[in-house]
Amino acid sequence: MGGVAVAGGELRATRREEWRRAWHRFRSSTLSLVGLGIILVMALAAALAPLVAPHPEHAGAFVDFGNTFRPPTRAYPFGTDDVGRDVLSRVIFGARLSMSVGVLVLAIALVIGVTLGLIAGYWTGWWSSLIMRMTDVFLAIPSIVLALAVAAVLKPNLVNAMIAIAFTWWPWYTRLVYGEVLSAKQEAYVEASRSVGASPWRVAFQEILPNVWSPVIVKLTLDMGFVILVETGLSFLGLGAQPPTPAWGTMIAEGRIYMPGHWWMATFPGLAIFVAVLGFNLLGDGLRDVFDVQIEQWRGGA
Amino acid sequence: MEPLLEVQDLAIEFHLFEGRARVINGVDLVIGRGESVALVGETGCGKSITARAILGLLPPNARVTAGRIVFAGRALLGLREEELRQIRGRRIAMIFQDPSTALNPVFTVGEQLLDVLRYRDGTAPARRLREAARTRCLGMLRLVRIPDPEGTLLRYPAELSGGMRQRVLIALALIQEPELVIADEPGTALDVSIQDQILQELRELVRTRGVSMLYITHNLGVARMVSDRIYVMYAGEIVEAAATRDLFARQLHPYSQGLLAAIPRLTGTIGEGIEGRIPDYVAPPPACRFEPRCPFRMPVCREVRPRLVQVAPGRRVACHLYPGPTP
Repeated sequence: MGGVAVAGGELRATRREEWRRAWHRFRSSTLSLVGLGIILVMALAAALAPLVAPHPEHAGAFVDFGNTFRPPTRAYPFGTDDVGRDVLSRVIFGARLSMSVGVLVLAIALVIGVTLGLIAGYWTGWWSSLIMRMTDVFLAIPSIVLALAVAAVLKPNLVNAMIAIAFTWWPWYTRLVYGEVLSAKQEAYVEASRSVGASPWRVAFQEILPNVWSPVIVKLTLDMGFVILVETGLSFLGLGAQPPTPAWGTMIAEGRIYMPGHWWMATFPGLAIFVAVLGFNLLGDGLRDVFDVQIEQWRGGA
Repeated sequence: MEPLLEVQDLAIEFHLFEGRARVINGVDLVIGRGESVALVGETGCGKSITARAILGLLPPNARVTAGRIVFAGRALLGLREEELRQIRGRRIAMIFQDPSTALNPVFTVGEQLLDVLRYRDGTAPARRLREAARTRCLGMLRLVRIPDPEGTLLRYPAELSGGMRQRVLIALALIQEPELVIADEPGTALDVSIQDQILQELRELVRTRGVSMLYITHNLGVARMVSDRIYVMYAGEIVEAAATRDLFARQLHPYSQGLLAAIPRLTGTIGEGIEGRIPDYVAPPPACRFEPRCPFRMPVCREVRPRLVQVAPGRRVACHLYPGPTP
């Protein structure tokens, strides 16, 4: 909210101090820093892919049959693939794709999940039981199987893969937010704001919701890695990004048939997945320590 | 004095696992315009429930089964939620007990004060009005004697001391200029010296602005300091009503006597206290709810419920020791 004058110097110093303290807590774990480093490098590479990739044109339908199956060399650090494209460039563009998929999927899951969780938690009634039992049903089905089913029913392409993943992901947020709201709505400030005439809508979205963000942010960070994992899984199975789109899962699927002789084709995208998931997990764990929240961990895919 | 709030024969039941608990059992209460009234009783006697019933903020398992609550000539029970919202904050406001939890931790004091002003208008104020609203918030903070009001607007509740937070809560309750302020034991969570100071200020504010106040407390000393009249409540019933001065001069109901005797004295003796505790609300004593703890109990106390009868001008008591005018 605006309309408030510039803070006093002392106050600003206190706030800065608090950020420093949070950063100190985060920094005290080397692994959190490693995670942050990985994600920063990867996000930068993804954002600036056309600039940092040595051969940006290799990201799409490019062929150079004079240059196929080159092992890693100085010119092509990750080697070249079966049609002569630079694997490093494609891995970098793959990061761009995976990151955007992760962000979009989680954005959809967040909006649906948080809204339903808030409604079920704040306005108790038959509908809250309905919402929560529905999430139980969704959570009982292994998410990759559900995503497979959705992706298979719809046309196999990247957008549908994203819809499929988001479809399996929102219940986690519903559950998380539901629990947080149940405990937050017992707080005295909720009653206090009702006592000055706030509408239920206002209490739920403007008083309670801002108090449940910390665990949600931690979970979002941890989930980025897992969403990327599921997305690459779907792409690997041919239900996600279609060639020649440079997706890590698709690249592994293509490179797999040339194993082990031309190992670099599948190995480097695989390593990229590994590093990305690791990075988000380490970062998420670090944030969890800073926010000091306890949340349920993702139980793995299949 | 013109009555601002009248509670008549209010009864509230809670649905519990053990059965129906009649937690409020026929409460009568009048607050005049500009009057400060204290509702005194031990923890669990139904003081806070009465206050919440007035605001229409009862927990979901509670039902009002009888009685009327009339505020400024208008019956509050049975009003729709939207109509009640128009009254809450604007005409009846509440000051909460625990300043550390009654403020939302994620918003600054300024945001919370401005928000309350916004509930009133329904929409975000225009830039020009926002400046006026801010001036009003600052004025309010000055009124509750917060040093550095400008800086306080920008602070989060966690950055304030308990006493300052309690002051902010008072400012939040008063900023809409309500006619009735219900204070639910404010300051109980604070140091005695700070509590004292805040109570003095609150009393002063209420006096100078002509606001009526219902002050809920278990502490008779506090009630004496802030009120013109006192209602003594026991187990969901009003057992004695008197002007503050009269009550301290002489307590009629055995429970009031016990409450006063329980106050620790500076002479070093600890108060005597009252034997036993508040009765079971699901299966209360059949007639007088205080009978099992009463030193003066008589056979009639188990048979006939004592009604609140006038025994002197402005003085009512519900006890068989004081037979009222025979009907």
